[in-house]
Amino acid sequence: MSTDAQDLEKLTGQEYKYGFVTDIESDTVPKGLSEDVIRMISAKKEEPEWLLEWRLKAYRMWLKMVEPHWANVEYPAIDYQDISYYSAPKQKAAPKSLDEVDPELLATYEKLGIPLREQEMLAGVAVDAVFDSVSVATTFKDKLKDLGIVFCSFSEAVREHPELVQRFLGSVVPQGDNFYAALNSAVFTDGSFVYVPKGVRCPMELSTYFRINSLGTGQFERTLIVADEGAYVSYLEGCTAPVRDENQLHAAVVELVALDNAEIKYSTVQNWYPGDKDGKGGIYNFVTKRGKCAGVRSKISWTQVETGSSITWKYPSCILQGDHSVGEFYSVAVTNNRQQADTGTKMIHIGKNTSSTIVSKGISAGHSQNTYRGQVKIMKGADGARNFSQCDSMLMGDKCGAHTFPYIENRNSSAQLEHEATTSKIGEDQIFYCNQRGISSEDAVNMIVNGFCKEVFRELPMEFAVEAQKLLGISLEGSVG
Amino acid sequence: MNREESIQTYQEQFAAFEASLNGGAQSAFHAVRRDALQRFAEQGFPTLRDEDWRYTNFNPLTGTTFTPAERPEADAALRVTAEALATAMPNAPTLLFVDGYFMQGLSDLAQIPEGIEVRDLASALDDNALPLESAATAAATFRHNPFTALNTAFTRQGVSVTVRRNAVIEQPLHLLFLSRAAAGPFVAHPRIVIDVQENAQCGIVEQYVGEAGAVYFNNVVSDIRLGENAVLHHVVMQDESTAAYHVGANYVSVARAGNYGNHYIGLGSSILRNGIHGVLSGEGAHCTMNGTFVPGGTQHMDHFTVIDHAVAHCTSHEQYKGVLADETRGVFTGKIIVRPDAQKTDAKQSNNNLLLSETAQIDTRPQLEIFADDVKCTHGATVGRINDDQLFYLLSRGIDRAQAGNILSFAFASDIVSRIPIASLRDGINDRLYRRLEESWKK
Repeated sequence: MSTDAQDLEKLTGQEYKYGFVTDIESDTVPKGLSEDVIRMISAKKEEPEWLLEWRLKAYRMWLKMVEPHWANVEYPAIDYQDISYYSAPKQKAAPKSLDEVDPELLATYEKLGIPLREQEMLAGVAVDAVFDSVSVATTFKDKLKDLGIVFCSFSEAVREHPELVQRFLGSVVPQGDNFYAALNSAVFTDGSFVYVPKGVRCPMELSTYFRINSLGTGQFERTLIVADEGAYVSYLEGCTAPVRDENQLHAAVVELVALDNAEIKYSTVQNWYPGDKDGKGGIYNFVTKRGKCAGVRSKISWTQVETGSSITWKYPSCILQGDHSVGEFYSVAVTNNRQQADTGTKMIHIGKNTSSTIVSKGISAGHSQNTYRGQVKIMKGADGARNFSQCDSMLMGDKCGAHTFPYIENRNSSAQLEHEATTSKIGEDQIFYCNQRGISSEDAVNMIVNGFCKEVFRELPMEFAVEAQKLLGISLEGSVG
Repeated sequence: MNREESIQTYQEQFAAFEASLNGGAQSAFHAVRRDALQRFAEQGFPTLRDEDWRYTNFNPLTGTTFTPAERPEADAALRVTAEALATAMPNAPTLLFVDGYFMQGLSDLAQIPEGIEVRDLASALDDNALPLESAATAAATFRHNPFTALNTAFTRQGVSVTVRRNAVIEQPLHLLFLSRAAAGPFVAHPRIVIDVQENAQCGIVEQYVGEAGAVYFNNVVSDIRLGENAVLHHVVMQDESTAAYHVGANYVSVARAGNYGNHYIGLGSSILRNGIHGVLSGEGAHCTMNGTFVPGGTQHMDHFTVIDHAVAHCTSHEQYKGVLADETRGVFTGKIIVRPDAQKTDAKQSNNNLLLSETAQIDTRPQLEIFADDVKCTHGATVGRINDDQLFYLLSRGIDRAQAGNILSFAFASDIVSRIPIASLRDGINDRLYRRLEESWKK
């Protein structure tokens, strides 16, 4: 066996580094889903009547829906009655500052390399840390408050800004949008809410770290970000989860609304537990993410680095409604071992002179399956619409698969659309070239893969770009035979 | 007519068909027909919910009752009519089909060159004389597609063409399908079985023409096998009546070092669905799939191609070009599958579309499914309209807008025609394309 192949095995065989469980007493409702459970969740969170009704409506829609099976993924049937739909770390009162936060929680974040204090002081990042389902700490809130920016947990937003929540909740992803979105709408427990008022440019990157902790608890986060006219916000979402044997379902919903001239940048690094070498355990990540460029010259940009989860089913999309609005999607999806990813985007051009860019990089190794599925739809009135899509796949090893399923639907002759895709592997000559210059195979692969993904990493905010490169290294480096 | 009723209609037709077979119902193939009918009855016509069919609505097809036509009298005038409607006449012996029936008396059976054997499919089936592999293919393929199932259930009319080992035939074979208005609304299920044996080379031209306004449903299936080193140039010119429905399905397997080329020219029918399923099953096999479709009015053209790289060291090239005018709708799905261990595959696919009007629509899905790592696979798709600069260049030289547009769109589409290896067809096709585009630009 060549040294390359040995490196490959060594590296692709690496254990998940972030696997640990934090011992915190959780307040969990019994397993199963019914109207009573939804009422209970709603009551526990002291929600207003309209929200309960909204949840129940979603639940009734969900009952009539069937689980979608069109995605290019395989998994055992999920028993939705075997999931506990609410789990909150037990705490007496909402913390006012970091000092009040359970030290064990803070230690968890330390282990993950995101010390809140340091971030607060040095990085200028406000972190709304979501531990299981309830927000435990929100930093920099006061600073943001001065600018009129609302950045808080979803439950807090429901209490403090019900008019905003009511106006925008479900405006991009309606309750009945799809099976998982309906489920989320019915049982979502918490998440983040951001509102940036007119003309305000958010001075710092807003960030949330999700972390699934309680055994057998699905996470149903709901994020809503609204950028009012002329506003700008950059939002980071990053995830890691402890090692588990039981598959965990995660069905989040993210809604973005950009009004006239507003811009939202949403970046994700997803590194949930992908399951062990044989695909045992791991997170099912069935997420609905969608942004609406509601106003003229608005812009929504999605950047994602997907390395975790045993199954990913995720299509961050843009509805380009306002004239001259812009949608962007930059993605790196890495799958290894038995991971399956079916990810991509939807760009729906409705307004005139709208433009969208899609850059997707898929890397598959081991026995994994990596699928890009993207839709570009140009509606009748979208004169002068422009789309450029590029999806490149890289295969490492001969047991994995890379698939590309673009859907290009055009209803307007003035639109100009381009799609291109390539599939390749790391050439032996490339490795040889590096070896010749004293670069180990491992470093060479790391370098080549990072180069392959550069177009996407460039779009990430600084803090994330570093983490993303590290993650990619852990997931893959040297995976070439 | 709803779904169940349309299925029932075909079941009733099958009963009548079975009764008309006499001894043929005892043939080995008849069991396959029954299975296929069963399969069709389970599935019915595809709906927009079926992923592979999501862009084509076949409701208009179930809205009309199509019944099999009567076998026409062998009248030499039929041949004249068919040739007058033909887009291009290759310099080749012609096999004539009228309203779905193989007209042996009107075909040039005597001129068929040595090395090619043509048999009437009906008698071949009744005598259990169909090559075993072809029968086996027919028994397998109908599971892919409800239209193929329907064809298989009613398979009788058609030809079986065998090109003998080492035979290199210069002259192509011309299959001309005429559909007449007077016979409609009729349904025909022609089947073409082509077996090109080792080292043999030949060309086959399939041409579909229909009388203006004729309403019919032509449901054609071709089973094509290429032996080792065999070469087949397969040209399909589809110029059915614009009130007709045409569903084609081609199942192609290519053995080691074989070379299959499919060249599709789509001009006619109100709803077209053409499927090509190519399997490269021997190392070094190559497959070319080129096509151009130029719908006008409210025509709907759906192309669905699959190239399955089952083994290593195969290559495939595919290019489809659509020029869509008026209220037409075009659909292209190109799937390239690279099986595990099909290393060193080289697959290229592209789909380019030109929209000439505000109301034309195009849906394109170039897909790659890759399970091997040492491969080169690319696909690309573009959609756009005529380049303003190019148009301006021609306008500035005194060429009027309609003609300038015509020149540019013709150049776009005829690129595919120039790659048809049967030279005697090119002028005729180009002529027809030019006139078709001219009509669109005049509006």
